[in-house]
Amino acid sequence: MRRAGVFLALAFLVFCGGPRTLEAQLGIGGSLTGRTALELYRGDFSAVTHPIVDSAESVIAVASEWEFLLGRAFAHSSRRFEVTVDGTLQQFATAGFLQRNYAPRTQSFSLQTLYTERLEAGTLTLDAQVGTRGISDLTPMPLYLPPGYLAYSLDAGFSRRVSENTGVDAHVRFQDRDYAGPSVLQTLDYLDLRSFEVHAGGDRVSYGTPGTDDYSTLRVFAAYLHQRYPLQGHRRDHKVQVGSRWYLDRWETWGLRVTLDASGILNRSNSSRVEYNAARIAATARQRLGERYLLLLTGIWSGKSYLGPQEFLVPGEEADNAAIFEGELSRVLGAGISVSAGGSWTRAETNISGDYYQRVRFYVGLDKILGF
Amino acid sequence: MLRCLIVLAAVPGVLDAQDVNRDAVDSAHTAYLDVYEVYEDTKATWGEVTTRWESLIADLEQADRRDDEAARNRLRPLIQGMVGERGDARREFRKAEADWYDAGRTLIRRIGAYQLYLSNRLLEADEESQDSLLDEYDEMDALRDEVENQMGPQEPLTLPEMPDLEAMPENTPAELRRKAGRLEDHVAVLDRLLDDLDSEIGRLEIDLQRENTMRRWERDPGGRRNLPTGVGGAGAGGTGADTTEVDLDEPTLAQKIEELKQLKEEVTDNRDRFQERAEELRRRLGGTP
Repeated sequence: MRRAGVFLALAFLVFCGGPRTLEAQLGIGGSLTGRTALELYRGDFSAVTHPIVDSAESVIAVASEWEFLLGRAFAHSSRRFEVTVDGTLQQFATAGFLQRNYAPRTQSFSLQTLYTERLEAGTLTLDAQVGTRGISDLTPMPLYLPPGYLAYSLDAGFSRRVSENTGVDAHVRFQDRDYAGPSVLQTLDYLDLRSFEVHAGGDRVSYGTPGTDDYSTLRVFAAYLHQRYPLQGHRRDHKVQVGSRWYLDRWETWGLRVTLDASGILNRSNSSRVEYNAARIAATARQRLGERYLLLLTGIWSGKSYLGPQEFLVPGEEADNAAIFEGELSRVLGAGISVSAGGSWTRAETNISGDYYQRVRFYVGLDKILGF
Repeated sequence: MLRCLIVLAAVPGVLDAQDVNRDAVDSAHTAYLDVYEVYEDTKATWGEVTTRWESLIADLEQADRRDDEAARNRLRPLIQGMVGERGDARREFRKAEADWYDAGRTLIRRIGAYQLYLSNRLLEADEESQDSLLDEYDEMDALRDEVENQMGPQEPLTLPEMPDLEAMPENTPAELRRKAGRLEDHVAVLDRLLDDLDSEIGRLEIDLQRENTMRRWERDPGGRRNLPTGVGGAGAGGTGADTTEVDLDEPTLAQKIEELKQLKEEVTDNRDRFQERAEELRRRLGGTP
């Protein structure tokens, strides 16, 4: 909590101060979301995040969730500076554990500052982020909650249009993530990660029917990541990722936006047990329905294949194979308020012993646009 | 230098010692002239945009009188399309006006300080030197007058008055009635424009709410897509930077709504003013319709 307090003080200073050399153009804007969710968990998957094993195969949780997002932008001719703060609070009540029922509470905050400058040769972006997550009364599996951490990242990028329809970009990114485990759970420290990434890509825009704003973008990218897990001995991972993203915007004519992502990863390491190939496919569709409704659908599938035999799930790695499906229907009520209802299904499996983790979630919520 | 410091103590406002000399006045004058040129340019742009805007409003008024639906449909998007341009022109003009005013105040302060310095020197100067000091003092006086005349009262940025619709002593009741009728026609046009603005603001606010929902969907702030056991691995997370080039000139939905709300306020003020004036004319006519 002390760390969260320091973080909030820092966020307040940056947010309310702002750079003196840039003229303020916009007030503070953002959103507040309140939600109630019912979640059903099943599985026999064992995770590194909790020392206690509860042999319940299925548990149930009711969650109350609050999210806020606040942003402020400053702009002056070709320069723009944005500050964004967001936070999430979740309080759960659980039932179905054999040993005792838990009441976990999580709070996460992040602060992002983004500087953009349009130069003659292209556009420069500098992005700094810091985020923290805290959790109390952490539950054992099968109710998986991500552990607490403090993370920061720095990203510098440059993009330029090489023709009217084509652009290229390059980024370098550094990330540090420090997991905060209780003293009885020092294995969480094995998840600590330092990562350096070089990323390059290009995109091509195709315009739709003349006289409309319809367009689509095809993007291809390649990245190299060097990752270190300081408390896992000398482990050094070298990841190569290639992928593409297709984005279709038919908002004006059909009220539809679609994003398709596909990527592959080759992970090689000086520790042979974590060498694998992985693939990921994700699709998101946003469909406007009538005057006030919006339908959101997302599907994600990921698969992983280790080069050598595995005896256990390696700390720092996610479950081997996973699928997520999510859907939400929202309606604009007016006065900046929208109501939403949705559900999701998540299943993760590991190749090691066929263990699985599954979550089904239903929720209803209200979104309020904020403006000052 | 000592003399400068003594003078400085007597000069109101905040001036550093290095600002009390002829060079400081000349550099402030050069800066003032540069800023004034920008002010004149932005003022001309604002004037030109305002003329076009008024012309469109007048055309819309005529189209309303003729009940010409085709012309109305053609003109309303043009008027709405000018909102951004008008907002930019007004912002730039206001900024240039403020810069010009600041530069003018700085120049006048430096002239005042330098004149005080010159008058101190006059007390001790011999006759030969006194002439040149007096010449310089007069030159500063002339420069100050020129700048103060240029600055004058600040022009308010409002929609134009309608002097031809003022009630004049020589107006006959028929003329007053005609003027009141024209004002009421104008109020009716502005009422329809306000309806259009309301529906456009409403439409954009719905779009903004949808954008907000879609942004929340992308962000995953509660970490609902995290999987056991770690974060940032090669599973459902992964790299996918959105590196589409940023269009800094493209106003956001929130900015567009803000522009329209400002315009609505401006139009509402003018509508109320025309309404009041029409009522005043009707009162003078003794309530004659």
